[in-house]
Amino acid sequence: MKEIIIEIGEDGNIELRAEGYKGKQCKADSKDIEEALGISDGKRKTLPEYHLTEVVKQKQRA
Amino acid sequence: MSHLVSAPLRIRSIPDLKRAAQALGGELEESAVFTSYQGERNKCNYRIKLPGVNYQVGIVRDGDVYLMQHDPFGGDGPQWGDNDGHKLVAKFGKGLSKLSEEYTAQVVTTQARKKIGWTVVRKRLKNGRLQLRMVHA
Repeated sequence: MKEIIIEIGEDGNIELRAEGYKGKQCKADSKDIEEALGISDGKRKTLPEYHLTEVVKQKQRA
Repeated sequence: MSHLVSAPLRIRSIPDLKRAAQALGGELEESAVFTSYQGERNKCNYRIKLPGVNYQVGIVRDGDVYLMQHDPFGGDGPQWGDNDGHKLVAKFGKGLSKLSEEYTAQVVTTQARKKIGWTVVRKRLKNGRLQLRMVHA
């Protein structure tokens, strides 16, 4: 199940993470929310799953 | 004398801020001034009023975003006069943290409604943070 999780601290700090994704679809699904909340690219961290699709393709070519 | 404090959150959606203010019992309206210490009037673009409270939250344009300002000065008892910024703090949180949380929740809910098959679930975590889970069915 795909989930986008946003946590808000009392200091106003906002954290966003995506779960249940493999590949870059998470970026597309969270893009509108990040823009609406003003979360910049510099604050985004990607999990290993984010790169999974690309790794598989590279292996197929080898 | 001014005690104005700016909340760290940057506002990008006035409609979502309006819904957040309403959810906490306030009312957002267009206004060129908002009230603080001893009736001082400060420049703004919008303001948030609470029923029966003299002080108001000012929404001030800063480039392509808005800042929220308020004066937390005040207390109960005759020595405080009409200075009731503490009532803003009681309703909207220290540093407008509750209002900031609610605004963020409204933004996320608005964005979720634009997408098909997504719902938003709210949860208060043990560490005090508000968690919003956008779930795709």
